Amino acid sequence: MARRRRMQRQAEEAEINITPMLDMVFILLIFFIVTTSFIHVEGINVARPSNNQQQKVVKESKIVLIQITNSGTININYGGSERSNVELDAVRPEVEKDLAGTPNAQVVVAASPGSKAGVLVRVIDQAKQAGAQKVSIASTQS
Amino acid sequence: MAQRRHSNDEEEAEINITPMLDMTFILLIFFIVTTSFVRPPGVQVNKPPAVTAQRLHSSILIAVTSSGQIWMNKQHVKMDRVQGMVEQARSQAPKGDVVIIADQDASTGLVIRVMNQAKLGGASQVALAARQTSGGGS
Repeated sequence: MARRRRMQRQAEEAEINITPMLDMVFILLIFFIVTTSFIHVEGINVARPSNNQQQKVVKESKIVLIQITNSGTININYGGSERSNVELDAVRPEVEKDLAGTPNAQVVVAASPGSKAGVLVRVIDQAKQAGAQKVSIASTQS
Repeated sequence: MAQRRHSNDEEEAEINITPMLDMTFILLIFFIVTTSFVRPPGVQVNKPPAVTAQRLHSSILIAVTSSGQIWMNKQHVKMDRVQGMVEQARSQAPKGDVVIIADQDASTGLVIRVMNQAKLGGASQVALAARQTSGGGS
């Protein structure tokens, strides 16, 4: 008797209890708010740098080689023409000149281990500004 | 008549939480979608400027300081542990690309060695972090 009455009452005001769901949703919300880190990194993609074994270069003449020495001087070598002691800001026009003839020439930056990473990034940036699609890094042992 | 309605309201007084629920769900979905578990390397480095820098969608950050320290995941790591840590990070985020945040004055040799280690750890794409500058300046 009592049971039936209770059932009837429950059916009358039938409602799903959403309180536990709400608790869970709030906990999830707080978790995501706390863990979210809006870190955005800006940078330049570098084509696969050759591993310790230097990649064999098939056509030397198709490659614009930019060398950075320990002291930070920049040498550019393309085909036969070699220019040494190029200013950092002059890398772009030089590479542009080289790419004018062969637009799909590859640009390789060979930085000696003692040079500064800032110079390397700036040189890559200059080469990219000059229109080089892929700039790769080669490690030199010297 | 009107008074009776009033008293009736008070009897089953309930705040309507439906709009709040809607909002909460929208916030929840927003945070779920935007969360990217990027772990900051834990050191401040002086990034070199670059005009062609673009936003990278990468989740594995390795910092190389000017003094030659390698930082990852808020801890100072040794060179021979970089590969393992990249592998571990990639097992959690298989699409994660590696970004090396090198200080302007860090040595290139170290950066390239870290890059090689990241490659050995399975990173398909390695990028160098730079500070986005507008064109013109050096």
